[in-house]
Amino acid sequence: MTLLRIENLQIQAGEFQLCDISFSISTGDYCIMAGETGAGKTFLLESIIGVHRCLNGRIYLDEKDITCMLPEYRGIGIVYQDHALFPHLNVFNNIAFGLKKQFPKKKRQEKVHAVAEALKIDHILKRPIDNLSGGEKQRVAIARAIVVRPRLLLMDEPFSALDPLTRQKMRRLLRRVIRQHRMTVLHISHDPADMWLLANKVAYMHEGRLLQFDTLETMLNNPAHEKVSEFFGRPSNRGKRIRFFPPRPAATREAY
Amino acid sequence: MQQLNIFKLILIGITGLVTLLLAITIGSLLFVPSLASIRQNLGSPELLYSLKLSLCTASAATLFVMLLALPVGYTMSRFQFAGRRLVKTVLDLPIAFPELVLGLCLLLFFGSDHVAAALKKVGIELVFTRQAIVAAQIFTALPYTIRIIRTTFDYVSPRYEFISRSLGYTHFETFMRVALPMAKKGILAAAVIAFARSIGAFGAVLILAGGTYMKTDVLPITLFLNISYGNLDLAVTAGLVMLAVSFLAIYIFEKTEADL
Repeated sequence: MTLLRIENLQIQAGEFQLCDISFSISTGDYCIMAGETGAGKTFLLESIIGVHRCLNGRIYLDEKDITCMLPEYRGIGIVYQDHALFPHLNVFNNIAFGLKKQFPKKKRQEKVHAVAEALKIDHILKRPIDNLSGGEKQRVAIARAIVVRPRLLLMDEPFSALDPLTRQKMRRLLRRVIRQHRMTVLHISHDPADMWLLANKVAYMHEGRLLQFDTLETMLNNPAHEKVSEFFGRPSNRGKRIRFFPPRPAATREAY
Repeated sequence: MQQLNIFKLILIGITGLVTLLLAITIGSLLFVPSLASIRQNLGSPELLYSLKLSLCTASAATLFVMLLALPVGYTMSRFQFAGRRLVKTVLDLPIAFPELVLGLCLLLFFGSDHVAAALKKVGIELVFTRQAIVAAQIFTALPYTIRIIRTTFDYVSPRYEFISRSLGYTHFETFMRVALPMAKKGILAAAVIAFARSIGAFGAVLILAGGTYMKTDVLPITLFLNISYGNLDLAVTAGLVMLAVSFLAIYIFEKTEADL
């Protein structure tokens, strides 16, 4: 069943423009979006949560038109690369932030402890956020986004600032939590391991346009655009191979 | 042996000279009257009246300035709209032109028949009254305060607000729960500067409120009137009180800015 459907989306910010973006994500999909810096990936995520005004096109969530809906009513969560944890709140209050309007104190505590346990941060709940490591901050940011059970979770390069070992651990943990909560995810990443191990759909953006949206296998074997073939390392029409996309890692998606 | 960095030495020398020049100039206030005369003047009815009036009017002006500067500063930091550059220029304009001109503009506006009559209908008589002091102080301090608040919000990434809204908070709730707490140090600094500018406002106050003895007699007016009478000791004491207030304000401002 289609959860998110975007049709011919066009949004402008200064000189930059998202042009004619169309794709759809089904419930339970894990979609990874790649593209060069400045391609408009983060801007697209922010447009989906509703903080940029659309010039043209429509956004549907559960077949309901949310194009003009305010962000607070959309039920879409977002996690940024730089965590963006509220510095004036401790870990517990950061995670509980989105629950305050809906649940009484006791219920909030239960929910925060459950998600903190799942993400292995239950021992740091009382700590101020500036005392946390990068991996801990990222887990708190993910906990804050998923504790409210968003219908769709958007993640903007959540692992890019982590060392390879922590990234691997985080990927495994995230995979488990996402499965446990049966969430639909749109995740920006350039890491081939994320695409192999987490995603069932992959998208590629370039200069405000979505060039291809498909399975990873199709992107590798039948790139629809020269830029896609450059990124995924397949020979372009001119026969040059610019980047090598690594093969599926030994740890398969199922093992995760 | 480390080589001498001549350029660095010259720059430090110039900085030292400028600091010394300012310190000596400001410090000259301390050397004119005797300690006994300062103590005596501090207890004089005129100085006590002007100190009390200055503190009251500057506090009221600071409150109004903050109520106006917070929404304006946030708007200028966060939103793009047609004519934004023009609005920014108008908001910054009073910083660039003399306070006397600002006072003249205020007198022409509030003294005009229509505005004066409209204000009188709601029970406000502004020109040459104590309320005029507050009005003049508001217009003097407002542009500086808006600028500081705008810069403060510029330093708070809008991403925090996007996250808050995605978690179900309205824009107003997000402003109250995220933007304001994250900008609180800058807002405190802005309030301190607003208070210091209000206490020190002279030209606009003199023109709009007049310089009437024991009526619209705020600290800068006391200083001005006493210089005119030749009562240097009382003028200097008023100057010292304003210096103490300014020193405290700048100290708090520097401290909060360092913590930002």
